[in-house]
Amino acid sequence: MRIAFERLRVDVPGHRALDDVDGVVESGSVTAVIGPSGAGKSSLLNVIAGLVRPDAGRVRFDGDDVTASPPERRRLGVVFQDLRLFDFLSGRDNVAFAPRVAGLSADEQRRRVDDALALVRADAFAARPARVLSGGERQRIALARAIAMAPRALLLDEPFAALDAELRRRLRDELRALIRTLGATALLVTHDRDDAFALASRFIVLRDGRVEQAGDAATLYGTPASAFVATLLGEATLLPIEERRDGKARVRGEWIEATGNGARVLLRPEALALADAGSDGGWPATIVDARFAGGSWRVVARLADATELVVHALHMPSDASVIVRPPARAHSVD
Amino acid sequence: MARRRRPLIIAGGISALVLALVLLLPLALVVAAAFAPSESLGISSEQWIAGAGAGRAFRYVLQTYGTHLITSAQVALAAGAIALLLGAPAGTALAMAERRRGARALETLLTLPLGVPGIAAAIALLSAFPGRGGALGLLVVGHVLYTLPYATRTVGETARASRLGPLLDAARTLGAGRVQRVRFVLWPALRRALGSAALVALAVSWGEFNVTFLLATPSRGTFPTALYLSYTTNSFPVAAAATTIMLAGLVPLVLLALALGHRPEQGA
Repeated sequence: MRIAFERLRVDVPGHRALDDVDGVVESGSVTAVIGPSGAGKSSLLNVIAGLVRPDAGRVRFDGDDVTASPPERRRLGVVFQDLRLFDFLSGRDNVAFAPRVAGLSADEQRRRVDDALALVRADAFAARPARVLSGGERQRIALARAIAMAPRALLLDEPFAALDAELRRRLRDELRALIRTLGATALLVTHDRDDAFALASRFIVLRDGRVEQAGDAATLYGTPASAFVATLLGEATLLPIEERRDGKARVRGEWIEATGNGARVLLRPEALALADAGSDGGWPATIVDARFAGGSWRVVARLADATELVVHALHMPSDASVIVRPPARAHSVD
Repeated sequence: MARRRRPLIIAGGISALVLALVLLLPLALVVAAAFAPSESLGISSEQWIAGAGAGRAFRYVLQTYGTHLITSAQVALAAGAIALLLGAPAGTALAMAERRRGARALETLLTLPLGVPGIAAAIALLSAFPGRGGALGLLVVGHVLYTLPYATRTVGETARASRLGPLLDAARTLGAGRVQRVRFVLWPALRRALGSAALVALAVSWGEFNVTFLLATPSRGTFPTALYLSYTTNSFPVAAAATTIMLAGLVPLVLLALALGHRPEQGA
């Protein structure tokens, strides 16, 4: 199902949660709504789910205007940040909730529940009361509950927020595989760029209730529209452009092919390289911090004017004095 | 760590035991006095009660104050039911609207009667309904003033603690209509709180004396007013028997309410 929202506006007392927000979640794709706390991400999810009525704008499912349609008629599988499991039911009865209220036959209910539990690998503990399940188990039950209703789309609100790093990584991979298996349309709301990159192919970046930029993930990472998007989606150093000529920009004496019309070039850690001190070109720097990040080193190099650059290097230089080589090409932002 | 805490636990246990003894010992003595030999019955009217033995004081209480007992039961049932019917929806609604402006103020307003002296509430009621002193309806209204805040708070706190609003939203996204949300979410989430609120309301009404004292008449009063009469006009064993009957109604209600209040919801 294709979800589209047009010119959405949501006012809450003393604050505009969403301001003229447009966007699309294409059928069969996963789109991440990403932004810091208070950007309006959950408000957008609530409007699409039907839990909040927008003050202006439209929500369309496959072209049909559903803005006035109540949540119980939208058939969206929502996994809330706080999960909202019914603790007075068992895990299995939580998963059976939607088939039960839909009035399906007992056989069909059982089949739906068994399938959903098997998909999220929750069969082993589903009979236990929801209130005694661990964080990861509750997460799986919440996901199974959303799947068991055979939703037209999944809405995932910070689905891994309450989990530790290892469990978060594992469940993220499983969810990615599950969404592919189901071929589901999904909207993921998150402030975590790792979650967004792991699950979504398209991003909508929200800032203060407005869309800052939308597009496919790689484009937004490589050519962000603003410094805000650049730093939200990854580590970045922004250095001022001294001069522009023939599509090139001079940055601290080095000429770099520059896209965009911004006043600063965006330097991602993986685009920078380290060379031994005394090498030609580049910027002389001193390493002030380095840690092995598993597969590469995360090095902080300080330039003469105290500007710090983060560099991902495969090998740790033997000397603290180094040359930081800029990329041949970089994007510029304001 | 556990060893370091042990003296604190022992000291706390001893304090609790002393407190329980201070509170319960006088009551235990009163209950024991109710079963004293019949010879200790004092004034002549008490001697008219037929029979002998430890039950004589109880027979006297039931014969003399039986109508008070029935009135108490009627008033408690009516006030408890009204408190539950009004308080449960109010508590639930206030809990779900806690972020809305004025919700907290309204909740405080509903608990205000608890701070008003019973005598003031009774005089206010008598002024509002002149000539209705001793009427069953007025007694019920007086008791509702004091039972309603308990019912509202008991149900409201549970609704707040179980995050009922978000749960109902989740049920909506799962396709549940209004009736299904009540049946499958609201009822299982609140049923113990409703039971607890009903029992607390019954217990509060059963023991209510302050407002009833002025609203009652000699011909119609609740059992606590009879208790007052027995302590002022009867011998101690008779008053003790009345106290025991009073406690026999109160203690099971309180214990059951506590048990309901502390047991987590089971699977539906």
